[in-house]
Amino acid sequence: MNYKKLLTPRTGTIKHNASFLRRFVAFIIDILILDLFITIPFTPVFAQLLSRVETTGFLALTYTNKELGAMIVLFLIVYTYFVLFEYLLGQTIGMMLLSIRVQSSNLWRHAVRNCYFIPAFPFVLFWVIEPLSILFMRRGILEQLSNTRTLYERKVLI
Amino acid sequence: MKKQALPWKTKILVSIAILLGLLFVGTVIAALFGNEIETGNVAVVQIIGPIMSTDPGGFVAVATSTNIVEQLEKARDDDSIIGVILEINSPGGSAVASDEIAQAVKGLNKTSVAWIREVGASGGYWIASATDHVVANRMSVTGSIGVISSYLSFEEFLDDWNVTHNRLVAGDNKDVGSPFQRLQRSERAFLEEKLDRVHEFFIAEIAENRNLSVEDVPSDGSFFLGIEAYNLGLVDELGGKEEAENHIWRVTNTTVETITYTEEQGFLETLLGAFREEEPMAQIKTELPFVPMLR
Repeated sequence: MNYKKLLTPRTGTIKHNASFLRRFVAFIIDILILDLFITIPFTPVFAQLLSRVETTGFLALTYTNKELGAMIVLFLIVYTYFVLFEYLLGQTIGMMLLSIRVQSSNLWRHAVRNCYFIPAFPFVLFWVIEPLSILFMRRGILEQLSNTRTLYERKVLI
Repeated sequence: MKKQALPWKTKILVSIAILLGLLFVGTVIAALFGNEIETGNVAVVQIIGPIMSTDPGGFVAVATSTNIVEQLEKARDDDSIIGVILEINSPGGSAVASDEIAQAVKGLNKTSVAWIREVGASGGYWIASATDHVVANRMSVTGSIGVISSYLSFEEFLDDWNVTHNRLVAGDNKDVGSPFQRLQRSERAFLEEKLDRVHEFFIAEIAENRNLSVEDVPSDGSFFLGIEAYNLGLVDELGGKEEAENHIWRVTNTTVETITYTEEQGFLETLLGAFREEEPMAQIKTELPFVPMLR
């Protein structure tokens, strides 16, 4: 007897550049996780800084050496979070929840694409340039420089 | 090279490992920042919140006399400390705890200044009066030289619900103030006599500390703004921390560098501290009907 092989639906994955909204929500989730777990030990260091912000405002603010040091350390920790997660797993926790993945396996590329965290000029300009670039071109300037892509993966029946 | 998608279990394990690793590193480094050695020759001892002998726990931070007396004794025994500033932001509290702190202040043998911030009333003022010099903001709430005690009475509630309270005592006054029975006239007189005695101690202390006669101490329980207290002789100077430091500088003729004494806390206390309300206003609103707030 000749049985024809059953053609059952198969699942495939469609990948395309993740939208701005999806990436933004994933970023917010990551920042919240960082705020909850990683920045707690540094709260006492910044307690006086926060009270000074209320009186002097941001523009006239001066920092003590301790606060500057703590900010640099915090930046390194946040930067390490994004680079490590993307390098080891291809995605941060926020990205996991939003089904986004970074297409790259080179550590240096991940380091470059996340360098907008550096709290110094000119990197702080990327806080404006990068979102605008993602919004209009679906790919950030740093992503293009590092030759990486942030993809949204969707399982479909084919 | 394409990275293979890892199974969810692996992702979760790796995520937890990275988060814990970063938290550990952050905690170690933050601890290094926090361990900076502070130096100074004038100790600032903070009395913030209701004053009690021991910490009852809960979500409102209290000023315990045990800890504050410890800090005052530390300042007393430290030869590098030339003066003490008591930073007071307290609506008062236990008479015993307030007296313990006031006695420790008197035993300092160093220049002491009370710096009253938003509130330094009742027990808080008792402590302030024990110092050599009292500084308050013109709008600080102070005074309230009186004693209060209250409790809820449930005897009518029990009657309404047909619940019987069986009273078994040896000694008629053993259960004076019990919430399950009506307060008799004689019992009320008994309790009020105790309050009057405590009140007399309070007035006598203020009179001695402030060099006033007992009759001149405003002892009807009224609270005063800083400017009013200044006019009544309860406060020596209107101002803030700078004025407190300047007084010590004038007396000792030495440049003042403050060092704030903090209470040593264990890990759990530090964690709970994040959830505790340090604002004394919660207590103030139950004890004082009017507090000038600019919000």
